[in-house]
Amino acid sequence: MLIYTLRRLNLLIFTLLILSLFAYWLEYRLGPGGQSLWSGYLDYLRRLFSGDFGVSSQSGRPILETIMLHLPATLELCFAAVLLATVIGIPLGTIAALNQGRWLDTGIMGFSVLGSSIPVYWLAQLLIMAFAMHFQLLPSSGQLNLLYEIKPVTGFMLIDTWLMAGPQRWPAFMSAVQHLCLPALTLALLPITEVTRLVRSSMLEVLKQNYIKAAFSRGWSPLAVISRHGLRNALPPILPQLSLQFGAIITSAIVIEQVFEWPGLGHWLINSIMSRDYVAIQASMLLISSVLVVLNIATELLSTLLYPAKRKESYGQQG
Amino acid sequence: MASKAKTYPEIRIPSPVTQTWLAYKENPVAMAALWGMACLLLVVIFGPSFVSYNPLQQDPNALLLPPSWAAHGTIVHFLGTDDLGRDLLTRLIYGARLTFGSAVVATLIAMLCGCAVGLLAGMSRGLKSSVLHHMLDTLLSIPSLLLAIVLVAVLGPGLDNAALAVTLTLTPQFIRATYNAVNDELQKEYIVAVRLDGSPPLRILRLAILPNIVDIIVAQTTRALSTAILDISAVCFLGIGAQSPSPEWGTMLADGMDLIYIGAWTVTLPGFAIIFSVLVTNLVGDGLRSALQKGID
Repeated sequence: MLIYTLRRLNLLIFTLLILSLFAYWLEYRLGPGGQSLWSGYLDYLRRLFSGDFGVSSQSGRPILETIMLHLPATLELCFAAVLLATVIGIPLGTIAALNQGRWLDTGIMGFSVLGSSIPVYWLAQLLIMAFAMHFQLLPSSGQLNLLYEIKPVTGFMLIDTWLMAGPQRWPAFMSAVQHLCLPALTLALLPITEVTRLVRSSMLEVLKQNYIKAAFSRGWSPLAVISRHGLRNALPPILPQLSLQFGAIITSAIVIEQVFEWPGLGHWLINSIMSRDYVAIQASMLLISSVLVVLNIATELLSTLLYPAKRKESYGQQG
Repeated sequence: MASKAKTYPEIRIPSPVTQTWLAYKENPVAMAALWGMACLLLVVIFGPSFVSYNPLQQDPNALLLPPSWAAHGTIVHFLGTDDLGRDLLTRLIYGARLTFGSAVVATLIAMLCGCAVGLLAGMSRGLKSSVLHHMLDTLLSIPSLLLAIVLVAVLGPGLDNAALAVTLTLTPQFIRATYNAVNDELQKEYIVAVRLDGSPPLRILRLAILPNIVDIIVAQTTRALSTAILDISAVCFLGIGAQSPSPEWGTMLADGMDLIYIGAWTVTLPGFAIIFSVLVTNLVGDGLRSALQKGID
């Protein structure tokens, strides 16, 4: 286990180094030259370690400060989408597996294929058309009604409005929730379809096992069997594949933020591209992909810790 | 067949590709999707020579006409017109060439480059392939759309650059898939037997490995194609790919965004075009994968 962890950490460090080299190459090629590639790169690494990501050529403010300003909005959106994907995707996948081959299964899988073919920005516009314009239920853009003045504490709009004092607290919180609904729902669609498919195939494997048959023959209800034996054995093997979904979620978030004018990282990244702010582009690429690499390796380690069957491989390697 | 079988008593085992095709034909949804994809390819190749309008031709007398089945629509503009009076059907047909066509070209180039590198790396051992493995892990950890966006930012806006960026992001996926497939194949016992017989690597590659990994490459290609369509149109939608008068589907969607209140069809129709092409690609891919699975079982 120790060797396995060390190998993963080694991979992590190398990956991050290669990523930073790529980011530096972007800056080197596009920014004002002068230094040689190698000494420039060492200098760049030194700056990164001291937390200096450079200065935006557009606004003149430090990149790190701007990122910290936009990051909470994106994280809020992504967390909401992950939550929705888990809450909707796992039951859907389980139901499909329990009804394998019947119309319910076919329907859910059809929905899953269709859902993964829809471009997110188009779905966003359809939802705006339906819920914001036709039924006038939900707002179509922004993070909060402009009437409310929120003191930024954490940057997360839901927490900030919750922490607010005074009579405006409840309506402001509701406004934040309403603004979150449409973007989060759009963002969640792709991971929902993926989670559904993964859970279904993993659950089908588990349902074939003898311990499931034994539990059924003891007269347990399907709900009890699924919750006590089914999900516990079906979820750990797909955990690493689920973590690959973070990448899909973050890229969809970039596009969706553009449609909903959500003031997050993606919105800022596209604006930086439009104004050719290369320091900002390379910094945000470096940041987003490093976060993804760390997340992937963390889930891999976590699933090895939690799921003993996966450890067999690493024992075998140590031989 | 029966008489032949008597004359030649050996059982003829169909090659993996034939086996996959036989299993694929059994699946009606996948066959329908294959026909849909064939139609789409026909539109890409021959479509523009059959339409009577120019995709950029503006008609001030026919601004924002709804599709022909709506109350105020006319059959002259079957799918209606946009805010400058350009015929939507014509633009969608030209857009098929720009979006689907460039996605196909990008995928094919990525496949050729990726498979070549993947085969070479798969056949070699040691440091070279280990270094490659790490580089690939890095590249694959960046989501393809993000990488495409960053590359377009470097290369400058334009559909060509968007397609080039998508090609560059897809290539590592092909290298990875081919590399893994070759590695898996090399560990099988029949390869060891052939090698012990003294076959040189090139011969093993040509006669034993290639025929057995073709299906994996084909499945990876369909997956890459649907990614390519979505990524190209997304980059164009964000305004950093094809620029505004171009009838690329993503650009058309972005143009229609301001018209969503008065002319919803300028947004919904390009969206349906994208969904159709991606759905067809995905269904063909799913059919192939399950056919491959059946071949293994």
